[in-house]
Amino acid sequence: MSDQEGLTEHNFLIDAPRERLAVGSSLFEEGEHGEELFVVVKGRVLLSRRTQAGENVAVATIQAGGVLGEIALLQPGPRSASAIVTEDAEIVRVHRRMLLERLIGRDPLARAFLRACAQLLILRLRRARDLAGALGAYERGEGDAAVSAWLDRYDAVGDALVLDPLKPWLPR
Amino acid sequence: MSQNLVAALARFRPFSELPLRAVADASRFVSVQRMDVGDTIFNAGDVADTLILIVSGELRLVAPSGRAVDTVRPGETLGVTGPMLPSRYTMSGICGDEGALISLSAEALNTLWEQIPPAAALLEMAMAASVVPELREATEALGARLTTPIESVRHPRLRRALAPRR
Repeated sequence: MSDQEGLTEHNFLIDAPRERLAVGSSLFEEGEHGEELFVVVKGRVLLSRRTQAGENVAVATIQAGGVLGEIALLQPGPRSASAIVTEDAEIVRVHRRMLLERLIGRDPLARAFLRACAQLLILRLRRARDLAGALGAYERGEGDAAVSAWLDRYDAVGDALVLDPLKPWLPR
Repeated sequence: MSQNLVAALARFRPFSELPLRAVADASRFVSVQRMDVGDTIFNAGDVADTLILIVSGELRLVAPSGRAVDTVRPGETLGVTGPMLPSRYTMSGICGDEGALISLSAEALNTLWEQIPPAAALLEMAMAASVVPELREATEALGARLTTPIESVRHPRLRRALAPRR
């Protein structure tokens, strides 16, 4: 069976119960232990982080079709940001334990989902490195061409493409 | 199955994160390769789809310009993401000191998935998790380096890239 085969019939994300959350609901707090990934089916979720000065700074807004918490799914630990619903939302939770049970149970779809999550993380890492490269070149005054060379690599894996591995899994 | 190979594998991340039984299962799918000084292990531009563990000796990473950029030493790992999301090597890997390496290719990982799914699941989880510290570090470093407000960055594309996603 190929990785993608049977997704429509047995996709556990599509079959999973959806949770409705009103504006202002918290999904998780920065520093809190996490072991779950969240799929935003409807609405919006704001990710924010506390600065050293204690100020909350917006990091990203996750819209319908986006995911958050993929790091905690693969390596449980403290959340690196807080997540709060900013537009009435429907979400699906994927807990590490559930994924592991499916993997150990030889579920080929769980295997494909794990690979997709791993690829998402790898693409994010490559993007972070490329953006750091662009910022470094800018700070060192290496000129527009050097900064643009890094940004070309950064843009080659755009925001949309980062989510590509998970797209077949996301409820529409 | 060689107990020495299992013991050698268990010293390397991500294998060190696994139960010994899973390491033993995975050891049936890795390759052990001797390397001599001057051997080219991979060339810049080759498909990078293999996890490489340096057991002994050293591997020099050489830029296309011929400049040695880095050295991978015993106990160190290269290309942990390759079997899960292959890319291309940007540098060549040339043996600088004779020794041995252990490798796990994307194909070998797939075979492990087909034959012993629980071991493959644990290994791939550990391989994916091993990216996390680097990702956190890269994200933290980005935040720490941005000491000036984003608005004052004069490069428009860089400014857009640094802005929070909305």
